[in-house]
Amino acid sequence: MSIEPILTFRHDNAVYSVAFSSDGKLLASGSLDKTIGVWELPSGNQKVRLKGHREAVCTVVFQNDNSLLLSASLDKTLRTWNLESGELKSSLSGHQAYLTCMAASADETLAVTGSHDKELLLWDTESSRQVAVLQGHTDLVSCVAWSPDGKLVASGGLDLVIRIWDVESRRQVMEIGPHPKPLQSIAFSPDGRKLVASDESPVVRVWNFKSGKVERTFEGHEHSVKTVAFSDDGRQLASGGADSRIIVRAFTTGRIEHRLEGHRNTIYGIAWSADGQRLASASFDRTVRVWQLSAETP
Amino acid sequence: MLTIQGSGLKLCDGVARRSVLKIGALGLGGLSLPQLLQAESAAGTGSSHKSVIMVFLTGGPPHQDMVDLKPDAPVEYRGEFSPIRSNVAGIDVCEHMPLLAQRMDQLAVIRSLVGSEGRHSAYQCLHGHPTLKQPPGGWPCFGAAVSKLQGQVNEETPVAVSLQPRMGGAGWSQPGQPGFAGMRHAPFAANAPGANDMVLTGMTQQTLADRRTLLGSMESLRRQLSATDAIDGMDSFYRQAFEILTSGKLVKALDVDDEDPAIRERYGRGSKEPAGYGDAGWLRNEDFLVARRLVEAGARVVTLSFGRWDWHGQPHGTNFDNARDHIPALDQALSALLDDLKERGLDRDTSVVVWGEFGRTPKINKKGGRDHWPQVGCALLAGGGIRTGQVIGETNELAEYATRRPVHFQEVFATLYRNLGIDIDRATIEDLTGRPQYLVDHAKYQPLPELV
Repeated sequence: MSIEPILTFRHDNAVYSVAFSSDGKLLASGSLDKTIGVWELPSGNQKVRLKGHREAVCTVVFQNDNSLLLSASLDKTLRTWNLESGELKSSLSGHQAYLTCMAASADETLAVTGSHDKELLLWDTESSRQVAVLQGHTDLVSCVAWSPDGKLVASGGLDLVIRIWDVESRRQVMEIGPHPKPLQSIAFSPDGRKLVASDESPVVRVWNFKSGKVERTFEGHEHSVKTVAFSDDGRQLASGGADSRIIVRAFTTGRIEHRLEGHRNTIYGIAWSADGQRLASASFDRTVRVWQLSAETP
Repeated sequence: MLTIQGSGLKLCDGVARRSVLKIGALGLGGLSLPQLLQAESAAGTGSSHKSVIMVFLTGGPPHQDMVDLKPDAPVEYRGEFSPIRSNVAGIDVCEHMPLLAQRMDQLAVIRSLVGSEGRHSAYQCLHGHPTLKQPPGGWPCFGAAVSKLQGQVNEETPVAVSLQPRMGGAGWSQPGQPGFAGMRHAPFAANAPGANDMVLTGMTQQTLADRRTLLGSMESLRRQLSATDAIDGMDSFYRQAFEILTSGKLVKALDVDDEDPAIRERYGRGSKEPAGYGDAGWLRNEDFLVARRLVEAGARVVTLSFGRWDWHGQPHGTNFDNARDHIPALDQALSALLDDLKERGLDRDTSVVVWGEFGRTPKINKKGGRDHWPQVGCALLAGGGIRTGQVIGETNELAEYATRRPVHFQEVFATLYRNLGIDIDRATIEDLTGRPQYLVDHAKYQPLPELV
């Protein structure tokens, strides 16, 4: 299948994160320009530009039937925005250094943030309060992921190991690795059986996190892989790298199905629409691109 | 607030004279200065005077990722970029500089710039001297020194113009101090806060249709002020405001909307948003175009800052993310400037220097960045009649230090002064004690013989 870019959105600085609403009608992007763009699909019109963060926005997540947006920023805050009014609903803080990553549980009750202070913070987003501090990393944290069943959190960073945390007990239950280079991104497969991680190398590693061993590796990028994302059905894995390229492959076989060219700088964020028909990418080239799966074979 | 009324001048500090023109804040319903002066005919094109355009790459550019690549070094040193050949045999540059690679015959590359103080500041690039142990009054910046020694090309254009905006990083923000050259020689800071607030209020275009009357008022005003030394007594900001008000040539030069659209596109636009995470200036290609226009208008020294090159790594992008963002912009803007100067016959009289306060660490840090490296850096030079198409100096295999022909900042300044016709072995400016000070330490540093 061919994939063509259908929309391009622009920020005034690098774009770090992107997310589709569950109904596919909205796209949100977080940028180094400190703003969050919320765009209407398929028109491409800007619905709202959320301003208030004092530093780069590293992660955005739609919540509450797409009426709210959760954003995490290097300014050490986790904020909730009302998308209809564009107003800030809540702002939580607790990290002592740059907050660099965030993931929300599938049931939208909890969020986890990672930071340069080497800690993870667990948040109850319904009651807007911090509920736990997860300590164990020996260097800054750069990526976090939530297991599909909501029971586990995975995190990684400069200490080269992936740490698996049990959410209920708030304790680390496993350590996977080490990776040869600092971790950049982590994602659980939708069936919860595999953990995919990328680091400063061009290689993507697939871990069987129960055994703690690498099952396979994916190659194809020329420089470090900054972001990985599964399609909701788990069939495809997209990766974006410092080579300005997005690779979409069939996860089971590893076969490369598409190489998306067009960005002029590192890809920092990738998101799939829920129906698996569109991919959005966020890049250091200050743009967000939406790629449409075509029904036509090349 | 500077008010001009009737045939006199009223200063808001209490000089009691009537005024017709009130220069005040925007929003009072008056015409903006560019609008008012837009009707003036273009005054003069090209210039036979010597000039320098200095581009300050704020924050310290990575020499090993731009003009001194080490493709054989270990990956943790050489980084992500590959060299490409230029149009001069034996000179390779970064793959993200394809336009400049095709103009290398017009450039001289210094790969062994040494003598950095190691401070995050534009000071050394603007003054040539270290910040410590300054003579009484402080060293004048390059533009102020030139202003003192050579004076204006015409009455309407300051000798030295700085295009640097105010930045969060204070050390980067300075346009250059006048030092013991005197306040009147301070560079005009075109993008300083307030510089754009010159609005003529209480007047309409119809009212000002009699251009001759207006200009006559200005001339009368100038004569009065000159006679009473009132201009000298003005706060330098108001002096500059006065100059901008009465100088159509300067305002026109600063207004790129007036430029041929095709020329504008060649330079590229850029943005006025602070580059990087906000403590530096902007990445605005059009400043290069403004610099050319200012030279044509009579400026002898134009300085501009370009981007934010202090790339320590995540979480604000790796050194290479930022380089992929900035280097192509520099490639386009500088190439356009070189072409533009050449096409207008200004290249032999206009020297261009591109540099920053230091280089960057040879080994990439764990966050994908490079840190400060005052041991060696780089510079690009063009124009001014220098011998181009060459590299001066060499570093070791990891770009850590100069191994051959280290070039000091003051040698570059000596070369620039020489290009302007200033003899550094003779020219002096008295400091505040009356002691004559040479512009550079001329006993140690002379114009680069490889270039002149």
